[in-house]
Amino acid sequence: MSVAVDKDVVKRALSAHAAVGLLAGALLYLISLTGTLLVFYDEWQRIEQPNAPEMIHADPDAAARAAASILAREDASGIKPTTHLYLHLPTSDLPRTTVITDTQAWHVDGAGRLTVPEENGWSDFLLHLHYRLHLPSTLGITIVGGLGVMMVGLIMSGVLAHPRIFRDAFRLRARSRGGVGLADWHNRLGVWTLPFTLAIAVTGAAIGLGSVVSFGLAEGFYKGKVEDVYTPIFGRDAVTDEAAAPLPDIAAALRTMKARFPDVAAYYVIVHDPRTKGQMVQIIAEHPRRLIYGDNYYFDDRGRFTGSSGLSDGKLGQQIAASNYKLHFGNYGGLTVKIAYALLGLALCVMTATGLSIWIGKRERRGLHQPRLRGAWDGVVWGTPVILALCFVTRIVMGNAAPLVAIFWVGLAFLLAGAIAAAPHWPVKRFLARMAFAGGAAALIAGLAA
Amino acid sequence: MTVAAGAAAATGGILLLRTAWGGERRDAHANGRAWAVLALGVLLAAAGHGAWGVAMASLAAMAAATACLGRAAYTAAPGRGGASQRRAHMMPQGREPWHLGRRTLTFLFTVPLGLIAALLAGLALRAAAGMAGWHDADGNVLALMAVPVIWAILSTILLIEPSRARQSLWLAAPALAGGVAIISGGNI
Repeated sequence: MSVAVDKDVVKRALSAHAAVGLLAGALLYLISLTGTLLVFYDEWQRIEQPNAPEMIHADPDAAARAAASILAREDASGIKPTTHLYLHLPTSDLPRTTVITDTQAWHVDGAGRLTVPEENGWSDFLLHLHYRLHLPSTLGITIVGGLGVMMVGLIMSGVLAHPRIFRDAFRLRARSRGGVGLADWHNRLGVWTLPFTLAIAVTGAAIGLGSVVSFGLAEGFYKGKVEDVYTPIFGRDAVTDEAAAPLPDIAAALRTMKARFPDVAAYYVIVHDPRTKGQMVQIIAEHPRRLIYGDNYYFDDRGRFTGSSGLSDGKLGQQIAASNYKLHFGNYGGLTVKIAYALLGLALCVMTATGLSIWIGKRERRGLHQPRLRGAWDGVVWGTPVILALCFVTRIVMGNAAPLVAIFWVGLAFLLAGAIAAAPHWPVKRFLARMAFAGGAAALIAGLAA
Repeated sequence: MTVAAGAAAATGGILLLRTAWGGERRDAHANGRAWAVLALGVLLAAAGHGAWGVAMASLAAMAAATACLGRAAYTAAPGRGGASQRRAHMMPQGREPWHLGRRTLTFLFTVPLGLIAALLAGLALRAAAGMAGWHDADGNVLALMAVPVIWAILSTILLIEPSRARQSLWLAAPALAGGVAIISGGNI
């Protein structure tokens, strides 16, 4: 199959492809690498805190006891009353019960006793790096959304710039030198992972730009109320009534849920405005063999079902919006799909890494040697996994309080500066590649020893 | 079961494509059969479990293609053929000027102005959905999903389009449509 595209368009599409790659290559690589690691977000949590109690099911009474215990503890220590109370219920990927307030999170045992504080330093560091590059939340997530847009743009310009891309789709001259092998890997992986790359780029861009678009929608259609943009999609929030009330009957809500909806798996309980008259219990339940993250089921303070938000069977828009997350993170088909996502994510890392390498290689073959530029790119490609491995080992050795954000950014800055300075005199790539493999081995040992 | 059959058909479609594209000459019938089997796989998976089924069949197809690529990489003979030397014209060579002003303007057109135009086009779609009687959930999600896609398409067009005047038209058209639609269909 060949696509007839005007030669000038092909030439300009290549320029566009290179422009976006140059502008955002390093950040796209960082986002791809952290996204690949984040496929195993639940598993990372289990690795970094192996002593937390685990269970297959949470007893509704035990869950309710845990909720009451943490609120009693907060009352005793004089902490400002929490605005939301969350209960994570055991799932096959993360078989733990965790009770969370605005200020703390505790793992719970089978009897509902608070056992150990949740310690997810590494997992959350990775999540926030991928979601918002550790920047303030709206700014960071919008930039990452913009990177998703650039990835969609790269896919389009990449296809336009290579008219033979489908004709050569199975041709992989992996052992050819002079840039041929590198270009073939880049182009072939690009073609065959296209559905995956497009899916994660579009969903990531939509999630990331959600704040900006919803602000526009609110200004245009909802008199500036951003929450009104989301209410028709994800459901209502509690109506505020701050008069005091006893904690709602969470156990009854969980029992009602199980009796009334036996085919879905409840995995999250949210009590909005707990211990006020306006409080509401929301249970999120997973629907098997669906891309939606679940549906929201609502209960009153006596545990009586009052309705659902319709993410599973409501408007098409609701179902699409609720499907963005699982499609992006790959947690919709057990470990097999997670492994497939990790491998496809790795392919995306290879594509991002080889893209700029191909461009630098072409310049070098034309006699334009810029060792510092190559050193900088080698520093990004091989140095990022080195620093990520260092962060993980530090988390395991130093504990949850390890300053991972500072270690990552300062470490990466020093490593890049070193790579740029050393590149004209020293084989930076070989050294960093060895360091990356050594770092991977050290992380593996640390993970096993945790 | 239907999803499994769909995934198997999608895998078969990839293998048929590999066979069809591996010949000395392209055979339109063989290509057509391969694409048809691939499409049938996706349809079967969709019939079985909707979007979830399509996602599973797509993963199976991509796994099959990657396996074919792995084989191609393993059996590839060492070669010394030169890679493409097409210039991307992204950075100056030698004493060529940097054209920083032109590059900055292209960045402004593509990134901030492209986002604003895409946002206005998304709001126009939302207004049109409202006027057509769509539920708010559908209209809002249409805008939320459309803005990044429109921005990506627009930025690619703007980067490919050499004329500043036509670039401005590409930016103005969705922005103007957005502005009119919001004023007539929104609350502004």
